[in-house]
Amino acid sequence: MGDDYHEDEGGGIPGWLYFILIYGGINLVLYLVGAPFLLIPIPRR
Amino acid sequence: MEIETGGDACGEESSSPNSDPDDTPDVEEFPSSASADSGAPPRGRFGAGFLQLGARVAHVQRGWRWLPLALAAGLLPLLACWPLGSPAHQGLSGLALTVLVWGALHSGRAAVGLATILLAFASHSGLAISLAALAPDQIAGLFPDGPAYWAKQEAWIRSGHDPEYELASWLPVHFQLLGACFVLAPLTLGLAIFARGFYEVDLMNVYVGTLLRESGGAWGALLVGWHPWSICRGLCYVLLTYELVGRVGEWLTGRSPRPGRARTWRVALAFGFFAADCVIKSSCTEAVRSVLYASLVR
Repeated sequence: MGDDYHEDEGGGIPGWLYFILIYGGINLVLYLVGAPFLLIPIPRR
Repeated sequence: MEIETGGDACGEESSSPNSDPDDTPDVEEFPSSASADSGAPPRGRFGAGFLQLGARVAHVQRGWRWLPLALAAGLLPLLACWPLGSPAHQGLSGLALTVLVWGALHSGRAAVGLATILLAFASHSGLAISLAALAPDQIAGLFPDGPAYWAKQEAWIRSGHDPEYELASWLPVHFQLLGACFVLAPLTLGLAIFARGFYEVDLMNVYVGTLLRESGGAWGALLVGWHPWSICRGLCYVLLTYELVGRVGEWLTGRSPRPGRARTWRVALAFGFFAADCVIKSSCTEAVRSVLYASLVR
């Protein structure tokens, strides 16, 4: 397994932080449009 | 994702997979070390970042350390929100569990990943049921929709009638839930399913806790309060979410699992639990209601 993927390209923000920002953004948008609440029903148990 | 790993994805772990026996994956279908040609590179910085984060979490939960972490994910948010009377614990537990699952997927420890999910939900449920049974004045804040859910369930138990328990009513909802899992589990890497899962499980926990209180701790309420079909549904989505997040993780990171049948069996088991949920619910609802009714009116 090459190690090049865990190097930060161009000396920018760390990869894990980049992931968290993008991932957080995706989830925030999904939350704001209410996707989890619209798509996931509440079946009677 | 169940990534081929053992290497130093975040630059902090030992490069020797055998230097610490705790780091050895406990499943057979994944290698304990990665080779240079074992997979494609991650998909951009996002995939590389996911790989780094998974490696960090896997390092923290190596060996037996996954166990207290799973308990913490299930219990600590609820304990922290208890004095505040806030329902934020459901999202926080969902987030913590999601991150722990990434770590288990990274290290290829499927048994640990699944046990983490089950333990987090079980410990959370134990505490939530206890709170609902022993501190009913707390539940309105912690579980805002719980009391209304209990009222509907109580009406069903006492009357034996509820349109929502008719096949034509609940079957489409079950398939919608299945479809939602296939969309949201990959899209949110598990977060939406786990966070929403804690919310839905808490509806049930408030119902069971209140049932225990109202029935004076009757055994019937304890044994079937968590309906058998509901448990099947929970197990279905534990397995399915784990596999779906794993597949997306593989795609993101470029890692690939060793060939094996374990994953196929897990997917088959998930659909088996889905079928069991439908079959048991359609055939045993009245029997379960009778036990609950006897507990409630004794």
